[in-house]
Amino acid sequence: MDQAQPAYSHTNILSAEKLSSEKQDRWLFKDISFTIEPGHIFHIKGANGSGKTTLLRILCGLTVAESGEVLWGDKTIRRQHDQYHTQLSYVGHTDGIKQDLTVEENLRVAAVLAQGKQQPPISFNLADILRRIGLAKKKYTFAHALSAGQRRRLALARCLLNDTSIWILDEPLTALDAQGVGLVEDLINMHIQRKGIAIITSHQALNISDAHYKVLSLS
Amino acid sequence: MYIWFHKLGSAPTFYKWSGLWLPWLGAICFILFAAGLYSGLVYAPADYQQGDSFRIIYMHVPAAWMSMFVYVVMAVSGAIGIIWHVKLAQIAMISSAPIGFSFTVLALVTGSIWGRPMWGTWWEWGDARLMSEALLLFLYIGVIGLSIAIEDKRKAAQAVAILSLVGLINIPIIHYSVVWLNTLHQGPTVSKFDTPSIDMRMFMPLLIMALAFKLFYVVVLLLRTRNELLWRERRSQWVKNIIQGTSND
Amino acid sequence: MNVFTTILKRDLLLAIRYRAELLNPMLFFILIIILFQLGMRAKPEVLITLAPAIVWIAALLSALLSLDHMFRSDMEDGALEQMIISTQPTSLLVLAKIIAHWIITGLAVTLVGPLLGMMLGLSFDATKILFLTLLIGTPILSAIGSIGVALTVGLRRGGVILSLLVLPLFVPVLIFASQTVNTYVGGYSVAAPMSILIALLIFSLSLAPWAASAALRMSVS
Repeated sequence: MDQAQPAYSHTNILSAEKLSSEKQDRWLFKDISFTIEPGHIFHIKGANGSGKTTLLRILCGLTVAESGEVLWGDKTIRRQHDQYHTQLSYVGHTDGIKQDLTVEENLRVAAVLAQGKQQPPISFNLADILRRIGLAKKKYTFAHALSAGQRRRLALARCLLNDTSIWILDEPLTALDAQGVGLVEDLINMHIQRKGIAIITSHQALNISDAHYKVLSLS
Repeated sequence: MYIWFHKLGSAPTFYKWSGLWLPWLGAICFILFAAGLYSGLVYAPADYQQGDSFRIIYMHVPAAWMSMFVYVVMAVSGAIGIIWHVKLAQIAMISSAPIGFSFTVLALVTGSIWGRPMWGTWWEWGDARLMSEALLLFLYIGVIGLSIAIEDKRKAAQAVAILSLVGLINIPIIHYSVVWLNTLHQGPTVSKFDTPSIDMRMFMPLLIMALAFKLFYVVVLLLRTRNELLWRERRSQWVKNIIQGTSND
Repeated sequence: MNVFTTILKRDLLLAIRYRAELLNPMLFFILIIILFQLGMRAKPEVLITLAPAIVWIAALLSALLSLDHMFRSDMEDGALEQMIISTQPTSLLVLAKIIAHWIITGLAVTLVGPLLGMMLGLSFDATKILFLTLLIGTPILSAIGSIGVALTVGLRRGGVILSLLVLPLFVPVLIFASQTVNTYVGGYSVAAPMSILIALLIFSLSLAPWAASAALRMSVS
């Protein structure tokens, strides 16, 4: 559909070393290690409450693990906070969009947040992004007037704003219909082809080629 | 030096060493209290203005000093705990809060008792030190309330550390504002709580009591910290050894 | 600068579109002052000395009521996480939210308060001083309050403990602001308390965003 785009400029290996996380005096997971190379999708599976979301939040730097480190390249993400977060787009369980703002206003705020510290504002093609997430005619619609699936796609749109090479998505396919799922899979595929990294949790299987697909099961 | 410090921060080492020190500290504390109370109640001469009722300062003044001192210790150990991730410092901070709160209550109650014969009322709004002490009480209540309200221990430690540091900055501001408020209405007052510092026979018991209170704080802090440590690490091997009596210490 | 204004505009837009946020604290403010008068039946001379304190206590309580929405909706819909994850300095974003909060709540109190002060019997000149104290003092409330909200936004019934945390910190502002007017009425110079208020304003605006963003990171984790 879209022509192939060039690879991301700042890619690196994302790895976890012996991550452990506690919740109310019991271990959610202990000593987990893994490596993700650019151009791969990492699918975290597990039952509800097994710590999938916590692991994602640790990889984002939102939560701190009890022990262990997350490394991007050869340095921990704590040591290179700005460089890492400039390359990161996160879509959590909740959409992270304001109901009382329009689609366009939401994206403009997200763009300001995505722009690097003391960098000039991002120039992004609003119309193009809206088309790619299937909300082309909804530029001036309030977010509360969108359906749940449309809101989810709006939330995912933030990944397209600033050429971020790492996408961390918590249940991205929730509330999406078949067409929406296809759209998101296309976006993720394109992201992988550009040597990006995608880390997702999902109950559904994704239509991605096996060569680029890794699974971690949390029990 | 760094290794020694780091080892001290390690739980089993701290537990062992504090266990060795505690009986001695407790004994010295007891002796100091006995000496302080005797010299304060018997040895020091009666004040020519207030008679024997001034003797309550031997409880009131050290308690007030300690209420401030403990707050500072709490804020500082909180800062150490969250900046350098020293768990022991975090536990010391949380354990200090109720102790400081108790000192503050003691200071307020003894202050009120002391003031009664002089003011004729149980409470004097015009006294800057009493008002500051009352607000300090609420700062402590806030700290304790916050530490209870947050379930996750690490988050609670971070929150309490931030709150106590903010409170610490505010204490001088609060105090100054109350002092200013009083100078507006009464002109410069001689606070009834100025310590009668001239006669050495009156001042010495105060110093002894101050030392006794400090040591008391250390003893209670160690006891509470040891307890909290045992509880938090109850599933680790060194605690199990202690419980089963198989430990070498 | 672009970041600051974007977040400021965002919060103002959200407040305009959801007007209950604007109205409640203001109504509360007016109501408290009316309640004081009804409960007190004081002689006019007495009421004048009490007037600044009444207005200021009402301002404090209405600020307390309005503080909760500073971070709560952002916490609930995930917008707060996005702000923390972003490379933009969180304290800058918090400062923008503090200023937005003041514009939405404190500014209205600053404009309406003096009118109510006159209703309580203050002279026109004393009312001007009251206005100045409100202008300088209400942003301090938003700044200090932001720390308390940041600490409690993740708690289930944070509102209760919020008041406990924040009111002791408000006390110096209350004392200096309300007593400034009485000082003026008494014929003394107000330079000292005014400069202290200004100093508190600068102090709280520079330090509070910092403390609040540390607290937000804790609440979100």
